[in-house]
Amino acid sequence: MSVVNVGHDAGHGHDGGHGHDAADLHAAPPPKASPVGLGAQPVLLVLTLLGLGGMGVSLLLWPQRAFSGLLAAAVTVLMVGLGGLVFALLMAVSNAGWATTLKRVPEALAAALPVGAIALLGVLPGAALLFGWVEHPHGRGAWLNLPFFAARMGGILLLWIGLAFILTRSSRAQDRDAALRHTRRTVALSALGLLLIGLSGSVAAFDWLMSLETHWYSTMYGLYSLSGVLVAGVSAITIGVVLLSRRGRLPGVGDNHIHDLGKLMFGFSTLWAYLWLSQWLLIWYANLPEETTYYLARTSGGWSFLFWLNLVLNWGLPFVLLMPRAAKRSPEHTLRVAILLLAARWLDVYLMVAPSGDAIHPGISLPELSALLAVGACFGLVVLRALGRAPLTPVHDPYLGESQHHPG
Amino acid sequence: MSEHALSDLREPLVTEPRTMAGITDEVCAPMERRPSILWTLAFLVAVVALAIGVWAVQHTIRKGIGVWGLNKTVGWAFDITNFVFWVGIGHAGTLISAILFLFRQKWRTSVNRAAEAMTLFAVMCAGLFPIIHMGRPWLGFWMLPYPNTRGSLWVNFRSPLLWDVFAISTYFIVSAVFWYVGLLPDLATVRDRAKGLKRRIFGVLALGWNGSQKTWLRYETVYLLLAALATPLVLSVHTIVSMDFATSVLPGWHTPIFPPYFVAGAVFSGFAMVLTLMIITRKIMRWEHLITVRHLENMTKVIIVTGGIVGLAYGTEFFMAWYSGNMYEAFTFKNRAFGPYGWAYWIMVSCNVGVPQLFWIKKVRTSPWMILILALLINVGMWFERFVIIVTSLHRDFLPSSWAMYAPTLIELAILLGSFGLFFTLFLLFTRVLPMISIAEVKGVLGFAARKREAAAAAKAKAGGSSAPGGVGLPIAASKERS
Amino acid sequence: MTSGLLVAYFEDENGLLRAAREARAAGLKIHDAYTPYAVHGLDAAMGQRPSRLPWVTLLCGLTGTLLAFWFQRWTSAVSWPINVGGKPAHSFPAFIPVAFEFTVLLAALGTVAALFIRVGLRPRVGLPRVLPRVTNDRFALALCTDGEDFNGAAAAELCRNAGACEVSAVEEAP
Repeated sequence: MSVVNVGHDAGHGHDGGHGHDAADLHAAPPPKASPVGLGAQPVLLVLTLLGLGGMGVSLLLWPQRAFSGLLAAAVTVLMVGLGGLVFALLMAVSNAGWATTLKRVPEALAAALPVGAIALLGVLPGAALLFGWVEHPHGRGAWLNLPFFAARMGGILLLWIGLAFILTRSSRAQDRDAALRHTRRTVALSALGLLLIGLSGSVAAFDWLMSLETHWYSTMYGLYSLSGVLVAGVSAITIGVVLLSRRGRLPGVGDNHIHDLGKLMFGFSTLWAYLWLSQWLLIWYANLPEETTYYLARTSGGWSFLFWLNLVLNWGLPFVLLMPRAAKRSPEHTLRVAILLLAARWLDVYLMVAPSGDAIHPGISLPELSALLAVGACFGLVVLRALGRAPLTPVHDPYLGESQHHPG
Repeated sequence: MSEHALSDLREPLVTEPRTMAGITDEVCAPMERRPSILWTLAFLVAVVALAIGVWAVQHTIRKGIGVWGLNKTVGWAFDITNFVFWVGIGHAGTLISAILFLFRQKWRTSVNRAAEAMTLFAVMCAGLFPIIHMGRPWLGFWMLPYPNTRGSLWVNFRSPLLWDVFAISTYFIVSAVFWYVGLLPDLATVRDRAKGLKRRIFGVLALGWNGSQKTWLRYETVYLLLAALATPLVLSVHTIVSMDFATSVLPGWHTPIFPPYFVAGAVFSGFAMVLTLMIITRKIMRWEHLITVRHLENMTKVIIVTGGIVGLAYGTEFFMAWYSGNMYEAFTFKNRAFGPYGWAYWIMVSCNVGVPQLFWIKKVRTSPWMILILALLINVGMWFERFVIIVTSLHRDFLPSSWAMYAPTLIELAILLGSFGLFFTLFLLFTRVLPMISIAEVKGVLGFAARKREAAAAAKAKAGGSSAPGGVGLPIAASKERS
Repeated sequence: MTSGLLVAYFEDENGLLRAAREARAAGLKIHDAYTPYAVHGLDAAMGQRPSRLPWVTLLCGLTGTLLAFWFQRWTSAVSWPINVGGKPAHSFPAFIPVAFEFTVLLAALGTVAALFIRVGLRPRVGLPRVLPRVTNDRFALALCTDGEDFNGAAAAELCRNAGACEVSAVEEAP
């Protein structure tokens, strides 16, 4: 193994003598699915119920914060699920081979998108408490009115869930029939899917988050949120991969896969920081009152601490922690950073949501935490169930051999 | 290690058998033979264009920039358009060398050298425009923060124009260093086969490179480090260029999406220019087996992606101009699309959003002539994008009494022509004096080939000498694309 | 330092890699190898340690960041503060772009300078000693001959077995 990863590994010839032989595969028995995390599932169920109880209490006591907490939790979880989907589509569209052996993890994240969707739809009854334009119509009422808003929300969620469904279905079908056409079809699907996610993701960010500040707008908001999706996806995948391979469930995963995931976390986190900086710097520089309101609300009162902490947790700390090569190759270390990044992801969403209300100081207590607990635990439960529905190693994927012999 | 693990779906990149010495001979050949008539002709045209440009620049400097079509309302127009256009072109080279390197995209090996050279020449062209625009270019050194007798009056570090000075010069220096470091092994190869004065010159340039593994080990580390540094650098350059506009309070200029939108546009136009040059080069040099259709196809895919981001940015800007309820924003965008410069806007949209969609069709993606035509159209579209952003945002500002129109004068057109002349003069010289393809890197992917060829020959002998159809294209040089 | 070298030439990288591995296993001291391109895995075969040049990059980069922030602050807020566009004299956000560029500039130049110094690459008038064809299509492995129990014949035999096409003695290291 080369000590310096320069990507100069030798090329490869095209000869049919190596690699797998389709005829043999047909003869082999189909791979088996087996349950994942049987011990954790009841715990997650209990946590979900506990969270739901907490949500019920806060709904009675602090309805505005209950809904705002639910929105933050729902968006965070949607980012994770969509991140899994985007990761799978990116790997397919670029014909990447290295991640094949771990591809069930992003697929399971994508399969759990409905949890986030239901949570987000749960915000609609309280829309009037969060979105100022519900009761005081916005100048552009043709766009910001509740029926159209709800229809867009439903359409976007259906699109994502539909894409995730097609992706996982064809991936699992390949387990059974070993046909190459699934791979080719997924490549076509992912090109189109990524295009649609780019568009719908931007609209989603404008609707669900930006319109909380009725009169504020930023063209960057869509891309900024999508960069958060990338971070959320790859962090959650890292957590899943490390935990599964620790239990020996992902035999194909080695240090080189962890290294690649670490590099992606490092890169995406830096991309997020770049977009964060661009938006903040340009609004600070131009100093237009209609734009600065957003940052004024977030840098005054008690919010200021969280505002800067957000930058440190989402970028500063992970950047330093992932800089050494050895750090990116250590499963324990990348797991810690991935957990940090996921927590920071929630904080970033929370800071997009909560300060738009009337609160002068941030409050992170029962309403926010119980919603996060309920939605997050339920999401985790569904991910575990999804992991159990298909063999964890996609034995008939044509890129599996490459992935398991990842040269780094 | 993983040699046997590659998926059967992978296709070979280099399609004809070549030995290492063969690669050396082939890449060095253009430097060692007399120039062809086609090259001489092209060089003459480029030099004439350059001469016209030089004349127009000296005319501008002697008379003042009043000879341009600028007026009180439109103070930035043609020159800044050309500046941003050339900087954008200059992004593909470093992207190919650095980002594709980090992503282990093997197909970059045949095109990175020429793309990096193109970057340097494009940045040179770009740098000229702001300097000419100063009107008194001999005072250009005032942009540098040196202790002086005026106070010391320091440069204004809060100005994005000064950020530009740092960004462009850093980019030029680092790209040049990256390029030179990448050239070192090849310079030594040329030195060791040359004679006389050429041997002496290359002897100095190669810095005593002797192929030592002790050197290679550290060299490879440094190359990786430079790639890791150049990646954020290339993004920062167009980010800062975009901030020349976006830090203002002008509708159409001040919008937070500008940084990523400009970067995507730069990569988009840069790849279009690389494609243009590579398609012509492979034809003239007969390097179709080194710069294959697969290389071209991969680049068109990058164009689809970056074109998509550019399209998304156009849409977002337009939507937000309406959504914001800001009448000035709304007017600017209405004026862009349906005002007096509407034609330029629609050229931009059709070339940058419409044209790349044709690359979804496999037939188009794999036909060099189609790619060439579409790449040229994209370059036109990207030039107009900068023109539209700059001129349409300025020419009808907040005060209707100051509204004005702008049209370039012949002098400005001549300077643009001259910048193309400079670019092609340098590029054509480059094709004659330096190895245009990274010899060492291509050999690196050939090394594996010998074994493959032996294996194929053995398999063939076993099969009784019958040539199986699958054996025809046996890629000895099979650097299959890895992702 | 070395009294002489035994140089084995190979037509492809496999022979070189094999010879390097076997020579090390046989306790021979490898002076260096000479190759036309970076051979993947040769560092491991020769038992080279990874380069420490990334530390230079980090150090130079940090120097660039700190220097740029300090200098911008000093010129804009201390030496001659001027009100431009109502921006504060110490406009930290506005100093980020130049600080970033300067970080990259110093890191890149420092790294390359360190490389050149470390491996002795510098412009020189005379031509360097280069083994024949190693910058074109041959690979060479240079073994030190100054070991106490160095057996030239056995070492040559080892290289030939690994696939060397030619073995010769060289007086002085390239």
